[in-house]
Amino acid sequence: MGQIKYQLPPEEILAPGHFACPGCGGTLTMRYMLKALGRKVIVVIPACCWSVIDGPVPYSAAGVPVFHTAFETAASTASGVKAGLEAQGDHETTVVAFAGDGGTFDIGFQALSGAAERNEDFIYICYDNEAYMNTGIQRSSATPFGAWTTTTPAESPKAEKKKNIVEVLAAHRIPYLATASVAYPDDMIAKIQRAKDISGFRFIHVFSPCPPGWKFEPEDSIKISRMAIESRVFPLLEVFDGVDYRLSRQPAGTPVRDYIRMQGRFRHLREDQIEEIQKYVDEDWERLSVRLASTKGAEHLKKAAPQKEKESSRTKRAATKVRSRQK
Amino acid sequence: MPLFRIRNGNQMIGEGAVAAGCRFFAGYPITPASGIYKFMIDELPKRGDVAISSPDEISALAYCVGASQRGFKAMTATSGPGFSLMVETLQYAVMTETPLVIALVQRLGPSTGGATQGGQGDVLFVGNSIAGGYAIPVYSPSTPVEAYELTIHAFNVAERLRTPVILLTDKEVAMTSENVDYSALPSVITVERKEFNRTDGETFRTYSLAERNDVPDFAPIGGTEKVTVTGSAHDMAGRLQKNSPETVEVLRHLQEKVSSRSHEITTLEIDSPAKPETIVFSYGISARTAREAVANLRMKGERVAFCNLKTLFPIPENEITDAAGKAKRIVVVEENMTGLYRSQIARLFPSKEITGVNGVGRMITPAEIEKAISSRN
Repeated sequence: MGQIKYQLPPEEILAPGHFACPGCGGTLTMRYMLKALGRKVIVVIPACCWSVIDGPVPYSAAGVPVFHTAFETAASTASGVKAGLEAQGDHETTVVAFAGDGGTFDIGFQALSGAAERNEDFIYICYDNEAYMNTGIQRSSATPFGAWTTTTPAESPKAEKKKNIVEVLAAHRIPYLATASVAYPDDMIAKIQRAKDISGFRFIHVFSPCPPGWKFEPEDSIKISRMAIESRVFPLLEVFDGVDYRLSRQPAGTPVRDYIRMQGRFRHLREDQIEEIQKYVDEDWERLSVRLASTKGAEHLKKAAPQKEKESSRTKRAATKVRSRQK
Repeated sequence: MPLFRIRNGNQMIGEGAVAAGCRFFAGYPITPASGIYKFMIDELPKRGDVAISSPDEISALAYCVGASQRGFKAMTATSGPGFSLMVETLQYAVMTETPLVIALVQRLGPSTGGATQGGQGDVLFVGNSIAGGYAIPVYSPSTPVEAYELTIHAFNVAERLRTPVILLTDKEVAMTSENVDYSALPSVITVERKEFNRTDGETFRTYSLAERNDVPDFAPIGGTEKVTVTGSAHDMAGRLQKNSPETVEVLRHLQEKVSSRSHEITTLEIDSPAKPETIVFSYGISARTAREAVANLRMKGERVAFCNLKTLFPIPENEITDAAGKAKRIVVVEENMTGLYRSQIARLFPSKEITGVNGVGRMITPAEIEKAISSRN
C-alpha cells in the first residue's frame, strides 16, 4: 500500500455546483489557489471561462469576493484594488488576478507588462488552456504549434510556436515567477503560498488542460498534465528576480509523441510534424538547461531529482525567506 | 427554382463580404460575432486572400486600416465590448479616409453585458462614435438575405466614399440558422475605389479635393506616389496642420462627402397600404417581429405601414418623413430600454404621436406591438 505523502489543505473554499466542464484545469487551479491563500483574498477575473464558471445569479462558487472585469484590464484592475487596500490600511488581503491565456498573452498583455514593470504588489495567475475556449476554441498566442482550433483548422493548423510567457515575464525581472500544473497540487499550492510571502509582482503560469478544446476525455486531464511535464513540453520551475531559475521537478524526457497523440487537437499531425514539435521542445529544454546551469539555481538543479523532492522544497523555502521581506 | 441552404446571419455576412471582393479580414473572438471570424478564416485563405487572427480588437481594426491603405477591401467583426476598443481606430479610419467595414453584432450591454443575450443597445453609440459628429454609414440587416445584401452594399459605400462603414446586426439575426433561398439573393454589383491616375504635370496629394464633397483618389501607401496617412488634422497633402483654412476645409469635407450623399447610399424597405394611419419603424431582429405584427393588424383591417430601417445612419430623414406621410401615429420597435432610435425619429415629427415598443434582455413579441397599436384605437 502506498503512503499518503501529501494532504491538501482541507478547507474547500470553491463550492461545488460551478459551471465548469468536467476535467477543467482552470477550475482545479481555482480550487487549489483558494486552498493555498485562504479567504482573505480578492480575485480579479477578466473575460475568460471563469467569468462564466463562477456561476449565474444567485450563485458564486468562488467563496471569496470576485471582481469580474473587462478583458484587457485584469492586471490594471488588480493594481487599482491593491492600491486602494493599501491606502485604506489593509496590508493583509491578497489580491489575485486570475486570467486565461487570451487575457494574459494577448489582449491583457499590455496591462500585464505594465504591472510587472511597476512591480505592482499582487499575484497574477494565468490558467493557460492554450486557446480562447470560452468563445468557442479560437487560437491565442498560447496555442502551441500544430494545434487545431476553429481558427487554425486541421488543413492549416497553427504555424507559429507558443509565446514563451515565462521568458517574457522573466525579462521584466519580477521577484517571483513559477510554472505549475494541476497534476501536482502540492507543488502548485507550495508555489502559491511562496508567492503570498513575497512582495511585488508575482506570476504563476498554470498548465490547464481543456477536454472540450483539446479533444480528450475529462478523466485524462491529470494524465495529460503529467505527460506535458515529463515530456518537457511544460517544465515545472521557479524564477526568482527574473534571473535565478530553479527546476521544481526533473522531467523524464518521455517522447512528445505520447503527449500529442492523446489529444484530438493534434490528430491531423503527421509524424514529421511531431518530430518538429519534439525538436522545438528539445531546443527549448536545452536553452532552459543553460539558464538553470548558469544561475544560482545550478546547485539546486543537482538536487532536484524527483525522489529528493522533500529536501528540495525545503531548500526552496529557505531561499524564499531571504526574499520574502525585500520590499 | 428555390435553392435552400441552412445559414445564419454571420455566415451570410461572410458570403456577402466575399462576394463584395473583401480580400482581407482580421478577427478577434467575441460572441456573438465569432461566426464571421470563423467563416473568413475558412474561406479567404482558400482564395489566396488574407485572414488574420489578431491579439485584440484594437489590433484587428488597425490591421484592416493598414491593409486597406495598401488597397485591400478589408473587414473585421466584433460585438459591443470589442467595438468600444475599436473606436479610436475607427476615428482614425474616418480621418484618414480608409475604406473598411466593421460588422458589429450587438449583444446585451453595457460592458460585458450578456455575451449570449441579444440587444439593440449600440445604435446611438455607433452612429455617434466619431468626435465632432462626423457621419459614418450604418446599415442594419434583419434577415440572412439582408445580411448578404447589406454587406455588399456596405463594402460598395466604403470603397466609393473612402469611409469606414458599420454593418450593425444583432445576436438573433447573426446566430439563428434558418432556410435561405439562394435563388432569391440579389445579384452582385461591386464598386472599387477610384485609383489615382497620374496625368502629365499633376502632383499627387493624398487628400486632393476640388469640391468639398469630393472623394480623393486613392493611391496605396508605399506605391509609386508619396502617400502620407495621418490621424492628425491635415491639409490636402496629408501634412499636419492645426487650423489653416485648408485643414478646416478637409475636415468639412469628411462630413460632407458622406452627408451630401445620404440619399444615394440609403436603402430602406417600406411596405405601406393606401392612407396608413399608423407606421411602424424598426430594424434588425425587431423588424422581423414588427413585420409579423403589421401583417396581423392588417388582417384585422387596420391601415398600418411598415418601414424596415436598413439604413440607420446617416439618418435618412427625408425617406423617413416621406414614409410616414400623413400617418397620425408612429411606433418604433427596438430592443433597448429607452427607445434609442425613436429619439432620432421623434425629432423629425414634432406634431405626431410617437410610441415605443421596447424590450431589454429579451426579444419583443408581435403581440406586444399589436397591443400597443390596437389599444389606442
